[in-house]
Amino acid sequence: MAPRISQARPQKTGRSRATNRDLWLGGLLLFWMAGLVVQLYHLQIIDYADLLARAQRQQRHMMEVAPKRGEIFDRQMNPLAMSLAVDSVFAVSSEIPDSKMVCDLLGPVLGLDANDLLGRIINSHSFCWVKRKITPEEANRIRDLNLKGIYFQRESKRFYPKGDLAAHILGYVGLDDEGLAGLEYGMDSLIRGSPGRVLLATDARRRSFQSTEWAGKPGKNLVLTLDEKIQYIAEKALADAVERWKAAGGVAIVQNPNTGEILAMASQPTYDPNGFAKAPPETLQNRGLSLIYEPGSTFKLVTISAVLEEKLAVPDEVIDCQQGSIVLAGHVIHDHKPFAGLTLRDVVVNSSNVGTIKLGLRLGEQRLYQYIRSFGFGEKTDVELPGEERGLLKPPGHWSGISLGEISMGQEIGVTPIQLVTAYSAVANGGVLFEPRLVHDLFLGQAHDTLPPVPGHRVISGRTAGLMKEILSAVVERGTGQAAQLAGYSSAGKTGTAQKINSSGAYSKSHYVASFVGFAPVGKPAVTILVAIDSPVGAIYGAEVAAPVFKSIAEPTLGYLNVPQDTPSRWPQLASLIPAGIPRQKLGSLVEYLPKGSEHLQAATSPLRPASFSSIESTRASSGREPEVMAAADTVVIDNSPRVTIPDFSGLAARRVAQECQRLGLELSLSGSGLAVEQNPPAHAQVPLGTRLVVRLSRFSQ
Amino acid sequence: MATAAATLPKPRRRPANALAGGRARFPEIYFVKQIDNSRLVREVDQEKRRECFRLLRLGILVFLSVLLFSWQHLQCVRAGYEIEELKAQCAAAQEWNRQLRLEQAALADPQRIDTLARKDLGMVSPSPRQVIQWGGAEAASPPQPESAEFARNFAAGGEANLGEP
Repeated sequence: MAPRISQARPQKTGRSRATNRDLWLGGLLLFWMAGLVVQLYHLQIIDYADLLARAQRQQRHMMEVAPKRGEIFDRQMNPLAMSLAVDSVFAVSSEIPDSKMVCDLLGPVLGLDANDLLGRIINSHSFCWVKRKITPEEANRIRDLNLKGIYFQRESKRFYPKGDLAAHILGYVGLDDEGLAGLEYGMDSLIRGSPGRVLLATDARRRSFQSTEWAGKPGKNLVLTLDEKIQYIAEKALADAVERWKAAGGVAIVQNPNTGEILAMASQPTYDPNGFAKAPPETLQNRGLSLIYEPGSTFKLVTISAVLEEKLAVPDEVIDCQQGSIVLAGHVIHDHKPFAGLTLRDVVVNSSNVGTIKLGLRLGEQRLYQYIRSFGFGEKTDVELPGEERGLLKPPGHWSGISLGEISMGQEIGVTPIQLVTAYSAVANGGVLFEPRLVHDLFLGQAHDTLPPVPGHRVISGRTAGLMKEILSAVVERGTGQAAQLAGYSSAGKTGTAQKINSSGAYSKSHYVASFVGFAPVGKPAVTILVAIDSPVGAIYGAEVAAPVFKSIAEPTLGYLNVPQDTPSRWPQLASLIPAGIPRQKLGSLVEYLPKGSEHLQAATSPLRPASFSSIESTRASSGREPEVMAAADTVVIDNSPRVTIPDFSGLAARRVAQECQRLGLELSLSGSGLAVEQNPPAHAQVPLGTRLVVRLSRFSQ
Repeated sequence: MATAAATLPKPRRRPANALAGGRARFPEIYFVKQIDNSRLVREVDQEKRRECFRLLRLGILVFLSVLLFSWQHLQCVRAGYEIEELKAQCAAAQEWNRQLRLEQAALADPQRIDTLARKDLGMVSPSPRQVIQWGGAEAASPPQPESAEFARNFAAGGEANLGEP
């Protein structure tokens, strides 16, 4: 093997250099790693707690979750007030590069004055609301602007989908979701709920990747005794009357006399609670509770009831009305026209002041006062609404010589409309006074707090109440309340015309409160209605101004409530053919009394067998379904078949839902799988038998 | 050793360019000697080998544990994002549902329906003589619960019958 000859040994020098380089590199790495270890030690051991706290502060945010305010429904479960989450805009002034430019952009979008907004942003150190609870359109436009330093916050906003319907009862809420008026204020503690908290963990891009919730307590939902249809009927009739008579205002209340439940309470002028801030202050007043007025002749109900209850007179006893004037403690009191002798019944029918005063004098101060208190005057009715007045009633010790007479005929006493309608309801139902009620039920999920019926207290006997109903019925049939006669229904009531007190404390000669309070049908009253028109122009009498409003409210309301008609006025042709002497109760079998040749009227006019009845029957038999067409060209058939209350199916399995629907006679349409999460019609709705119920099932609980 | 090392003569370093032994520069010859030690077999230390494998297994286990932990953590974070997104979607759907219910309620406003019926459709309210109640006398009676409620209240009032005039 030939030796290789080389000039030098470069390998040795290169290896040495490489070794040196490796040593340096190793040392450097070692130093670097030592530095890392030292730094890690610092971070993980020494500064650990501090850094952990800083990181958590940076990543975790504890936020308060506003409670969901309870919804308000009418008695048919129609929503009257709901809450939705909307955006509020706020600015962080330190982050805004050019405040003026931002304000110039925001001002037109939000309808704000740019200079005013600029002042607010500049004066704020860090946080400043730009505008709260804006519309989705406004929010989208601002998002599109992509302004630095402008942020959004979700807040709950109250909406009233029916606008001004029942505005005075519902009330309204402020910016911070606190009730400010009406039931929103009166029931605030129950429907507001308590806030929850949520701990959010967010990344560097502020995206949430973890959240822990501490649930708050949502507010309870409220079911009112109101019926939105009756409320609308009352509001419309009242608004028409107030407009027609150019009145300062008015009030109409519809009450169920058998329970005290308020079915409608309308007050004029009114407002839209969705924009209550812009409403004039006088429109915010609920006159049903806060209007104190002298009831005038409508108050004679108390005096006459007391006289009859104490058996100080009988309806047919003749009272000397002294040709329309009487002197009391040096004061002369007149009737609206002179009467000589009137029976007690006719005293009321003709609304004689003199006759009523003379009856009141028989009672005496103490007994009249007791009856007035017993009928609920002079104290609050304790209805759930705030702002109720107790009225004006002096104890007998403070009465003057003329007070007994004045109070007997409804002067020198101040009452509220709700007190008066409640007193009339007591007569209508047979003598039991029930507290008026507006809230029927409170519920949260499946838990219902249905308010128990409030036991009433008897103020007059059933006999006295019966006599009063007969007398009040005569007022409508042939007295001052004839404008309150209803088509198809009997009615009873009393008109009232009271002078208002002017600013100098004297009775005004130009401002009156015209009122009518009555109930229908007389035999089995379903509704008691009060109408009071404040300061009508062109007419002052309750008979002319308020009684027609009673009729406008009562007729459609009784029809809507499917109350059977009890007078033959709906069958005028039939009435003309009825032989004299046939009792009213026999109207249902009048066919046999009709003369021959009037068969076309028999069917067309009989309350039990209408003309199209046979065709309806045949339709039902042939098709197995209820007829939907009109029975005749001008006849409306109201399906008055038995109704069922829809249960709350939420959380139930499909099998249970099906079983329940079968039991109730409802058709069922299921969608999805799992447990019921949604249903239509909603729970507690009253529907006819055979209604199709749509239930959506889901495996995920909402 | 240190003492022994100290007694040894230090090797004299010769400059790289110095002549060897004072003589003339002689080229160094680099012999390549092929040594075949393939026949030599290193004895395997079984103990060390087992220890090595043990260490290797432990290392792999630690590595896999760390990997699993990291994967779990990552999945946790990813699931967190998904949950939050689903929560947001659920809240948005519920809000949308509320909006629709609000819209439905607004559309069912009696005033709106009344206006539509009268103005757009030319409908009029039926007079009471045009209305025939369907369902018989029992169905047309006032709602039963209210009657029962009244009966209870009335009983509490103390009289058995109202008595009509």
